[in-house]
Amino acid sequence: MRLFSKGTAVGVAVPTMGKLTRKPVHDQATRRDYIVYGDPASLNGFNGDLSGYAGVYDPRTCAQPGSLPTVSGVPNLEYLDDDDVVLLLPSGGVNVLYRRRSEHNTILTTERCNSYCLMCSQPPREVDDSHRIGEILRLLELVSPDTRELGLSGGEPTLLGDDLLTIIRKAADVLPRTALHMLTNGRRFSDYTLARRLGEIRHPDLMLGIPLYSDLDHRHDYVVQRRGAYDETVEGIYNLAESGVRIEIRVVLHRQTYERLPQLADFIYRNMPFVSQVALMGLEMFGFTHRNLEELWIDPAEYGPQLESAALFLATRGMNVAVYNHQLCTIPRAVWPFARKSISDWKNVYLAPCDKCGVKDYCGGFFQSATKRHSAFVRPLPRQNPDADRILREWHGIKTSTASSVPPNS
Amino acid sequence: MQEQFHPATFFAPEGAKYTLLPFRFMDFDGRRFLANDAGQYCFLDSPEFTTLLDGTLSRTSPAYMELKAKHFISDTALRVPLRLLATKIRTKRSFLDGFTRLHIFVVTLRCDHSCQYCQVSRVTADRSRYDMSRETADRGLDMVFRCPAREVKIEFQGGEPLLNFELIRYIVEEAERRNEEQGKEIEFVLTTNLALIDDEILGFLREHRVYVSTSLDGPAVIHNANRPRPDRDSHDLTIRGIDRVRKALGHDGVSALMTTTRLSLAHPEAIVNEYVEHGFDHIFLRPISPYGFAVRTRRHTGYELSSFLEFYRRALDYIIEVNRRGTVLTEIYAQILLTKILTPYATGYVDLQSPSGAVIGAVVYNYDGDAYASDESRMLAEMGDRSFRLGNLHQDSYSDIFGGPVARALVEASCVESLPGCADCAFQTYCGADPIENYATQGDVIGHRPTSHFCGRNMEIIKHLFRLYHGSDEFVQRLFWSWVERVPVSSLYPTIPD
Amino acid sequence: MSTAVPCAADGISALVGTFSSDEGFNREVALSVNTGLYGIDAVFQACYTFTDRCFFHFSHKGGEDVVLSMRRKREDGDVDDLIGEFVNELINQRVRIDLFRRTHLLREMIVAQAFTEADLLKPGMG
Repeated sequence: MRLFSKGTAVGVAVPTMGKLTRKPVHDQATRRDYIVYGDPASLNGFNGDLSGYAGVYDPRTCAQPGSLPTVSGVPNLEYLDDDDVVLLLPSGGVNVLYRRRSEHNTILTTERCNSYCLMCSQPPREVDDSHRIGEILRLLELVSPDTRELGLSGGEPTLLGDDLLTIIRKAADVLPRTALHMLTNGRRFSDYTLARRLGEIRHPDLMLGIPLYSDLDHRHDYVVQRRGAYDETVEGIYNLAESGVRIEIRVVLHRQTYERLPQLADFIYRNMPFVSQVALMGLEMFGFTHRNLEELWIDPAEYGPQLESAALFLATRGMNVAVYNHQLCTIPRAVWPFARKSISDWKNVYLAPCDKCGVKDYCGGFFQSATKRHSAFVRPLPRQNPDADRILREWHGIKTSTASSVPPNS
Repeated sequence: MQEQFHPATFFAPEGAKYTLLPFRFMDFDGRRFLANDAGQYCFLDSPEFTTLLDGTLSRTSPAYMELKAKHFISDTALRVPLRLLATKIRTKRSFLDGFTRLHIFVVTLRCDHSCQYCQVSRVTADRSRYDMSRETADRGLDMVFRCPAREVKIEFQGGEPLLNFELIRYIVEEAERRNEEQGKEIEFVLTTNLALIDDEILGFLREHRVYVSTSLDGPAVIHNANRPRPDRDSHDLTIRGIDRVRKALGHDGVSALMTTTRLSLAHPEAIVNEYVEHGFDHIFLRPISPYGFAVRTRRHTGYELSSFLEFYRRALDYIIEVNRRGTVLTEIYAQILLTKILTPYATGYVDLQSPSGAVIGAVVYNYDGDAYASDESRMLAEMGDRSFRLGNLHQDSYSDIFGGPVARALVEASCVESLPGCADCAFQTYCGADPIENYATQGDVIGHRPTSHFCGRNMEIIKHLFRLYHGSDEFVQRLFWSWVERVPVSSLYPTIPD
Repeated sequence: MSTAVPCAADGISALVGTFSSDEGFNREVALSVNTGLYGIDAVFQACYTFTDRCFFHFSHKGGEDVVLSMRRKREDGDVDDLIGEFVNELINQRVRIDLFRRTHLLREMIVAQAFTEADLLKPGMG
């Protein structure tokens, strides 16, 4: 699934953002928020009255260009629907910024970053992309207020400085019922004032996902390729906690992080027991991972013992544990209760052996990029016994109406 | 041009020396045991320990990495380790928040039992001048609401408190009335021998959510020997009382405490079985207070430290087996110690704190208005020694009582960091100080550690718990965590049935 | 009658005396300790730890040496073990005193930081 495509632009002088709509919008004042979506057939429903709309998007070919900024003939975006937000570019490009029916909407705040992780899946570019700020502020006005969650990522969002606070403040204002999950290395929050100001916004549902890769500073600094990063991140975590901001610690598991995973769990428990969750994540075969494959690659099945030890260690001590981006066939059974179906829909696939798998329904599957390299232990598993099957379905919110997505005793 | 990736060596400190961060150590089963003020600990072999102190411990050794991660050493800028340590130490002292939380009201000195270890005078039922008055109760409640603690516990003791039930009723209702403005979380506890329980009382307890605490020393043979009544049916009364209370207040509405006497020491399994048989999910193995009537009747209840420790070990081993077979039973003293050892958190148990919980954690208001630093202080006064009397509710103010010379002397005398024998002890963070026990058994509040029972028993129990936890029995580790986390061991973490 | 028995530790020599007593066990042991090597503080700390088992008496021998008489309260094992344990404790105490010297300032900083509102580690704050 792609979030970008290209067609032919007519009259698109500047990047034009809007919510797609197949039906006429009667309130003239709000038409500027909308981009007319459709083919000639649905355009008929507008009875020729296109005035006030932001633009026109037609995946096929327009019979006649109107006077509005129009992009047409765009392949690969058939999934788009009403209230999805797109950005029409003068080049004919179409950026899909938001999909109403998706659970995984992430806003890219900047491509710049102050770290350089060995396994970065969004390799940084030193560019001036401050234009994104205005776009994001506008986007927040167009996102449907009943959206459950939005992600903020990058690069490193805190490089926006005050503008980041503005964005979060705006989200708190116009989308008070939307949870905000921001991925950040936390380093800039070693400045206590920034952390305090973020806390003062009192966003109703904000969580920061901050990576920590070791209990030892030099190991973490190596993974993120910046000296002093660990100290800054740890100070940032403390400052954020003192400012009332919720934190999730994220650990990407690979050859450089798996060995001391149990010790990292102990470190988190003794030093940061206040974090809301610890997420143990699988490696994406994307971005910088390829450049550092020899240092990074380990078959996930090989770090099963450390993964199990760390997950149970934390769970025993009352901490929330989530295991992301792993398949049930490659992790120990003791870790299954923590495995979540977490891969963003637009990059989520299953492999050929999965067709015969008895637990596919509650397995998160793979990254798109895993087709290039994945565990040698991927194999179909037999169906579970009825008790196990029932519990797993409940946990993953499948089928039963009384299901919760959280394991019963966590 | 694309930025280069640097190898791990680029980030490792090169040839940097390491700094020792503060810690204490002791010899433990042929190894060195190290612990710091955050309660984190480490076992080292003697040669490793020597090289650690010499500055030559190898950076690549597992011991080095463990010591660094647990903040025993630092080889980088000190800012972050110091900040983390400061935070952890503050967390360990969080029991100080809110000041005095436990307020004990001795509503009457009258009692209908004559337990051999009781430190209360054996006054019979018809001497009502030993009852607390409403005026005194009011002054006591003034103190409760003066204390800053958001969560307080009001406990009724005696004698037998139910002999003055009307005052209990008054205190509960008056406290609730005053609390409408204050918004504290108040928990009420009634300690009673249950002989006088009736439906009216039970109705009241249920309505006001008063917890009941009673004594159950073991099976009838032990219980009745410890707690004689003229008609000699104390155990039966207790069991019937427990059943009756449970019917009215729910199964967990009553908890039991045992007192260990010389007779108890020979029967750990029987005592544990008694608790299991009567459906208790916890048991508190605590030693008898070695003074008060215990001192007077030392022939019956005195015991060597080693006998108690043997009893404790046997009882704990048996409790572990009981749990292994599927019954949930927590040993509370172990739970308290394990919380201090295994978690970053503090506990609110006043008898194992530094500074001691006397006054700053708990206070006793006697029937006559005299305020005491602890139950033991009151009992010393009953024997003629009023050294730990804080004042009188009718004559002295809040600051006289809670900030007066006795309170201050107790705090000063109970900071383990400055007590001989405790100052360098590696178990310092797990233990505490009891200046009143020191005074009663050794003659001064500071105490003499090498001959102190308090020290001896805590040292040995802590060692025993370490041996169990770090032994080869995985079930014990999970059991201990289930006690610390207060969940059944089968619910410690989610599992999928095979 | 007494014999000097050199100990494993430098700076300590034991003078084992057999005294006639009703108890019939080696009740009193005298050690000569070089306080220049161990420090008088360590000596006192070590003695304190043994005051449940022994009575102590000090006398000054001359220079940095101190003679320490340990008189056992009861028969509790081999007197050589007692000396060995005491010397080990003396060494431990010496190490503790060193450790204290090396770390107490840091400890004071940490505790001050723990209980103050301000960030003492931040330059310019206080």
